[in-house]
Formats: sequence, structure tokens, C-alpha cells
Amino acid sequence: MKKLNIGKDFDPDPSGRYYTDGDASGEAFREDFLKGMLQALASGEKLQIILDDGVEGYGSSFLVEGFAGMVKYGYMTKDELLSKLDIVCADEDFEFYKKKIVEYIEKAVFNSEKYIPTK
Amino acid sequence: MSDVVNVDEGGVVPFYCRDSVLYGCNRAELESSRDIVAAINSQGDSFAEALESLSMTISALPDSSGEITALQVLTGVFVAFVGALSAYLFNYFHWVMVSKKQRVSRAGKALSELIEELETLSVEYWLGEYSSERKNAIHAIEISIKSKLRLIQRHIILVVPELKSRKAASRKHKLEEFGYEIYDIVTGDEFESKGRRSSKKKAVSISMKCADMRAAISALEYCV
Repeated sequence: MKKLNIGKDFDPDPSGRYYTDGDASGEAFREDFLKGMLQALASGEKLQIILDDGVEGYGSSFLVEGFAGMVKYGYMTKDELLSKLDIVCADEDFEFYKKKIVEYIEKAVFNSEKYIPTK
Repeated sequence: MSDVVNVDEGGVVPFYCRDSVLYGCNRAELESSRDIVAAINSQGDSFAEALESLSMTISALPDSSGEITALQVLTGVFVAFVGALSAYLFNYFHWVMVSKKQRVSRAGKALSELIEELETLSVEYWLGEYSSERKNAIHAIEISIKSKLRLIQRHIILVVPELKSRKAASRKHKLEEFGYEIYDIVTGDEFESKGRRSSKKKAVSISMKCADMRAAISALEYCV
């Protein structure tokens, strides 16, 4: 199983929605990390996302853009995305973010917007 | 007249004996004496009947000797034990309820204060817009907002399991929903974005939700 530790591999302060908001934005996370890693998974393989290692918290703007954006821009369906993700956290406070990620993915409408990069 | 002696029951005998002296009597006295004797005899019969009835009633009572007494003692001890146990349990559950109410009250008060702080910060944040000159101050507010939201969520997790009664069910649901909704409103849209515009609508919505939740929390301890 491949792993993506947000706090260590991406940024300890993930914040903002678009590239224009900074290098730790949801768009940067999706386009530069998540998308590539998910597409590189073998059939039936899962990507483990570690939420709480070195991160203090997330805004919903980051989570919506970073995770639900995968469905919204038509990279994969919500079922496919949920089947490939294994979101983990040791800190029980982060269970809240885990629930929100799943909620945002489930609410996203597949391929409802055309992706236009902001940088 | 207790010492009247009827010498001959069959005929008329005008004599009576008192203090070992024999007296004579006229006819009227004799008739009167007979009435009195008859009345006394009649009273004596009633009295005898009453005594017999009482004797039969007492005879019908269960014998209170031997194993019955032991059973009665055991029953008494058992009743006393049940009484003491009931008193203990009543006292125990009373203090459990008092302690639970105090716990919910304290957590509710802390939660209410956190919500008030979040309201102040977020209303200020969303009434202003992004400015590169104030980027450090804005970043500080953003960090503070995220930290308050996390603490609020932690307190909600503490309070919700205590709300088990039917009366508290709606408040429990409201509390959980508030945690999710306020997070989406405060940190949604252009939160942490350099393109953020001020939003009076969002500020009003945050303030209304927070005030509504604080009012609901203030009544929480009465629902436990």
C-alpha cells in the first residue's frame, strides 16, 4: 500500500483553495500529489492518506478542492475514489476531517466542471 | 344483691339472706328481686357467649412457636436489608445524576465560551477582505479559527454522549449538526484565499448560528 503523509510529504500547514493562495493549497495537493499517486496505483491497490502527522487542522476550502475536486473535474468517480483511499489518523480529533472528506467526495458531482489551472 | 339466696326455686319464698341474717320480704320486693335475677342471668349468658367466641377466635390464630418465628425473623431481616439497599441505591443514583449534570454544565459552559470566541473571530474575518498588508494578522486569525473549531468539535464529542434522554435527543442532534455546519460556513468558500472578498451575509449567518447554539447549550443541563 502506498502512503501519502500530508504533513511530511506535502506541507505541515495545508491551507487555501487555489494555487494563487499558496503552495500548500488544495489545488496544489490534488494536482501535484493526489492525482498522480492515485493514477499510479495498481488495480485493487489503495493509497493510505495520513491526516494528522504534523498537521494542526484543515479548512473545508482545502479539503473540498483537494479531494472532492478529483470527482468534480472528472478524474474519477466518487465510488472509484473512495475505494482507492484509506484515510487514517491517530488523533481522534482528526476523525472529524476524515468524515468531512468522505462527505465532500460523496456530495461532489462527477465531471461537473472543466478544470482551469489557476497558476 | 349478690348475696340473695333463692331458697326454693319452684315456689314463692318471701325470705332472703344477707350477712348471715334471714330477712323477710313482701310480694312487690319479691317480684322486683326476680326481675333483677333474670336480668343478671341474661347478662351472664351474653358474657359467656362473648367469652366463648373470643376463645374460639384465639384458638383459630396460628401457633407462633418454632420454625414460624424463625421465618418471621428472616423476613424482618430481609425487609430491613431491602430497605437499606433501596436507600443506598437511591442515594447513589441521585449523586450520579448530580455529578452528570455538573459535568454537562461545565462542558456546556466551556463550549459556549468557545463558540462566542469563534463568532467574534469569524465575524471579524468575514467582514474584512484579504489584504497583503495585513497578511500576517489575517493568517493569525485563520490559525485561531481552525484551532477554535477543533476545540469546539472536541467539546461536542465530550457533551454528546451525556445526552441520552429522549428530551435531549433533539439538542444532541442540533449540537452535532452545528459542529459540521459552522465548520463549512466559517472555513468554506474563499477561506485562506488571497482572493477573499468580505461577506456580510456569511458574517450574519455565522453570528445567527452561534447565538442559536449558545442558547441551546444554556439549557443542556436541564435535559440530562
